[in-house]
Formats: sequence, C-alpha cells, structure tokens
Amino acid sequence: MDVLASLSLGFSVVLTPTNLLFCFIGVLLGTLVGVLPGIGPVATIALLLPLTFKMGPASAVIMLAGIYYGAAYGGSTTSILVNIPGEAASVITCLDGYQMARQGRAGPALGIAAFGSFIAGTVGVLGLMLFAPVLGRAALSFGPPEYFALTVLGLTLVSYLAQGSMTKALIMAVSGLLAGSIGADPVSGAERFTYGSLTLGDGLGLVPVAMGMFGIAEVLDNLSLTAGRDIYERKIKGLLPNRKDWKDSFWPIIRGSVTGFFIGILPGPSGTMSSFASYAMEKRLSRHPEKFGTGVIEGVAGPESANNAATAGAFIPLLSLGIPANIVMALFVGALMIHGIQPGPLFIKNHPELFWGVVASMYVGNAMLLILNLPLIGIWVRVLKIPYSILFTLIFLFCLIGVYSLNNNVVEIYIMITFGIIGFIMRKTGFEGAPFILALVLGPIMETSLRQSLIISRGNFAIFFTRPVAAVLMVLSFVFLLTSVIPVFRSQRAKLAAEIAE
Amino acid sequence: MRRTDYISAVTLLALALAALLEASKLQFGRVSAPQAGFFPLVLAVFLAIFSLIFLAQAMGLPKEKPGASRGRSATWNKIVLAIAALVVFGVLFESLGYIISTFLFIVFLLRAVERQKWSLVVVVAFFTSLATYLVFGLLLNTPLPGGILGL
Repeated sequence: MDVLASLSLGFSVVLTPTNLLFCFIGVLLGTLVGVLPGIGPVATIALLLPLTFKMGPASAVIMLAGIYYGAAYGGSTTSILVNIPGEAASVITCLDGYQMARQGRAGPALGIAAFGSFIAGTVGVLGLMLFAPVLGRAALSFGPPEYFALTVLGLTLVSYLAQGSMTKALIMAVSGLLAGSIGADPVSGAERFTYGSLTLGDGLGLVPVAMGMFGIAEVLDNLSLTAGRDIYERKIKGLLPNRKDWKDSFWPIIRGSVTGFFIGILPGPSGTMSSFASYAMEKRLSRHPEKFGTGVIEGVAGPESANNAATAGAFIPLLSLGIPANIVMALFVGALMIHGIQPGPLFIKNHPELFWGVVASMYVGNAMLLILNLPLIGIWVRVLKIPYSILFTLIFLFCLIGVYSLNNNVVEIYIMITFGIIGFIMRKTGFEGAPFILALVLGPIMETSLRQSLIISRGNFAIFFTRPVAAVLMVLSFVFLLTSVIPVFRSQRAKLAAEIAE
Repeated sequence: MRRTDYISAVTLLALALAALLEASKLQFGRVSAPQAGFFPLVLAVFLAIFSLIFLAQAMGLPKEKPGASRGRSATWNKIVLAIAALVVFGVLFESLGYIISTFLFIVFLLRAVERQKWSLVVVVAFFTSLATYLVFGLLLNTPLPGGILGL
C-alpha cells in the first residue's frame, strides 16, 4: 500500500463525527492541562484511560494522542504570558517569550509559537509516516539480544542527558529497574518482593508511581516554595507575526522541527531535551547570540517547534518496536492492550486503519489547535488566575480520582502518596525522576530479553556483541557510559549540560 | 563532603544491601538458564556499585556552608499537613463515600494548610465536590464509592 492510499485510509477513519469529536476533546483538554502548571498529560491520560475502555480503539488513541500534543501547545502560552512554564518542555520558552511579552510583543510570540508548532507538528507527522514503517520492518528481524541492547541504550541515554550528576541518574535508573522487578516474574510467574500484597503482585503500577513522583511531588515542592505569581496584564494585540518575524523564524522552525523529531525518537523526556537543544543550537548559529534572553523571536520559534515535533517522534519506538519512550507512551501501551492490540513491529501491518488513523488525526488535531488556540488565549489567561491554593487542591483531587479509577484500589492511592514523598525528597536532594520512570517502564522488557538471550546463548554474554545491530547499540551505550566517567569527556558533558541550562 | 549527598549515598547503599539480601532468597538459576532471582540480584549489585561511587564522589566535594539550607518550620508544616490529608483521604474514601470525603479533604486543605476564610472554604469545597462528582461519577462513569450517602 503506498503512502497516499494509506493516508486516505487514515483520513477516512478520522473524518467521522465521533472521531472528530474525540480529537477535538483531546486537543482542548490537552491545551488546558498544558496551561495549568502541575498537572500534565500523564495525570490527564490516566484520568481518562478508564473511559477509553468503552470506546473503539481508534477513538481512544486519537483522543489520548490529542491530549499529548495539545499539552505541548498549551505549555507555551503560560511561559510567554506569565513566565511560568505549564510543562517542563516549555521552560526554555520563558527566556525570550516572556521578554517579548514585556516589550508588548506577546501577540507575535504566541502567534509564532502556534504557527511553529503547527509546522513542526506536520514535519513530525511526515517523519513518523516515513520512518515508522521502515523501522517496523527492520524490527521484525530483531531478537531478544537486540531488544536488550535497545533498552540498555535507552537507559544510558536518559541518564547521560539528565541534568546534574550522571552517577545520580544511573542510581535512579537502576532503582527504577529494581522497582520494576516487583511483582510476578515475567517469565516464570514467581512472586518477587510482594510480601503477600495482592496489589504488588501485579507489579508496581506505572500510573500511581508517575502521578506521585510528578504530580504530588511537584505540588509539595511548590508548597515549600510559596512563589508569587505575576500575571502579565496588558491587552494582547496583533497575534500575527510580521514579515520580519517570519524571516527570522523560518529557519529556526525548520531546524527545530527536524532536531525535535529525531530527539523525540530517543527515550526519556524528549520534549524538554529537544526544546533545550534547539535553543542552544539557535544561539550558536545566530549572528547575534548576545541578544538571546532579551526577547528575540528565534528563541521562541525554535524550541516551540522542536518540542512539538518531538511528540510525533516519540510515537516511533512505540509503534514500530513496541518500546515506549516515555510515560505517556507507556500509558498508550495500556490503552491499546485493553483492546487486545499489541504495539510492536507487526502493529502497522495488522492495524493499518489504527496507525494511519492516528497519523491523520495528528494533521487534523494540529489544524484544530492552530484555529482553537489563538482565540482562546484570553480564556487560558483567566484559568491561570485561579489562586494556587485552589489549584493545588484540584490537582491533588484529580490525582486521587485518576489513580483510584484505574483499578478501584485504595492501595494504589497509598503507592502514589509514597512516591509523592519520595519524589519530593528527590527534588530536594537533586535526583531526577525521568530515569527512574523510564526504567520502571522498560524493566520487564529488559529482563525478559536478557533472560531469553542468555538461554539462547547458553549463558554466553558475547551474544550481545556478535550480532551486528545489538553490538552497535551496546558499543554506543558503553561510549556514553565511559565518556561520563573519563574526566576530559566529563567536563565536556558538564559543559554541554551547562550550555543547555544557560 | 556535602551532607545531603552523604546521607542519600548511605541510604541508597543500605537499600542496595537490603535488595541484595532479599533477592538472594529468590531462585537464581544458572546464567545459562536464569530464574526469578537473577535480574534483581544483578541490579542490586549494580545499585551497590553506583552508590559506592556516589559516596566517594560526595566525600570528595567541598563542604557546604553551614545553615545555608535550613528548612523553615512554617513550610514544613504545610507539607506534613498536605501529606496527612492525602493519607486520611485514602483511609476514609471508601467508607464515607466520594462526596463527603472530598468535601472534608478540600475544607482541610484550604483551611488548615492555606488558611483561607471559612466562607470561601465551604463554598469552594461544596461546589468542587459536587461538580467533580457530576463530571466524573455521572458523566464519565468513573467508578466512585458511594459510601454512607449511598450515591
């Protein structure tokens, strides 16, 4: 089936009233939670996951995908207007976006963020369309050693790219893997570390852990800071960027889209990483790097495009390899499995209507966001005026209902609270949550593939280095590990991290 | 050495040793035919190694200025109260039912943690618990416990 025929199949799936409605609900909700700091796509998708069990699989995935890329859109609005990033991915937009707003140029900043996101979203979808099937076909020949090597590389990369000490990140990754081994052994079914708890018998749930570590921990952290919020009050006029704005933003948007897409394929918090990388790149390529941070439009256009392209890229490992690259993608696995659909190399072949339907829905959703967001900015600003004391109560409540509604199990509420406390302590001591969560997601895949590989090779670890694909992936992982240990390279990595964080 | 890093390193090391002990109780199998205990044991060893490296790094760091990061008691109070509210909500949720426990939860957070005015607290708590019940319980069919109200 060629691409055009496939796409028209996809559009025939999306352009039904029901699916259009779910796409709309998805992007609208996504933008709303993107605007609200402290509640993100993870909590929202967890809340709506039980609801999707009753929908058709296509409607479910279309709506959940809409929440995911809609949140990337909404996050930028608050960065620009209030200097508070709604999502981690739009932290960097604060730098130049808020400055532009203070100079009375909030309109063009919001406008270019929306147009850039739309263009990047389209580039990302094109990339997804071209790469996912190719990778999916290649992945058909992957055996356990390749999958093991992929998970190793994923965890090494997410630790390498973590801010601060890589030792801390690796500790978090290994702890996450250990936490992932709680419950029934994926191969033999033997109980591990459950101590008689039925809830733990099914393993540590991803949703309670993620909502605790991010949702609850973030609120606790905010309670300990009591930061003042200062909303920028001035009439926003002229959302359309002028000709010069477009000229300045054109290449940053294109570069941001491409970079964002490829970073999106990598495991970990790709939205955040891609926007930081794009900002660093634009600053380096710019003829006036000293102006960055004073309100240059390139500093908004590049990163905003990058984080939207990354959301499309993140679907690739899930849909072609069956490996979720982040928590949201792991929740998608849950949404698909409920309908008896296994994401992986055979996904596109077995469920073309679903794959192309989602791809087409992303085109439609991006167009909806563009039309929707510009006129709704006023409403989002009003949402932000909700005092934090009420907002955090609501965030707590949504986390509690979200976790409970998944399995109707109060024990999962306690798991969430526990990880909320752990996440809070981690924030105070400089440990990052991302490697832990990714390890929790990848743990079972990693263990199963490791044990199968060892059985195939009769206990010989050389199997990971004699098969070409696995060998390349393993060598890459070792390169990242070693460069972070050897002092010369270590300062290089620190410099890179510092440059990004600057 | 940095005090927080030192404490975290020692805690992690203890965790690694506990995991090692617990994992060794599981069936290890052989390397050519690994069983349930194989992966956790390997992980525990890695965790111990990384924690030791971290401990060594923490000891090499310059000492932090004393008194720089003393927590203020007022904010710690808030955090402890917020966590307590979450736990109590979990305990009462199923027996009291969604609406009542949510109402009490919001009243407590707004009054005890945030010290808002009583009138505002009651109004917000009443409407939020009712509205979320309507949206989640009735509209979205989220299974919420009815509790003593039997809703």
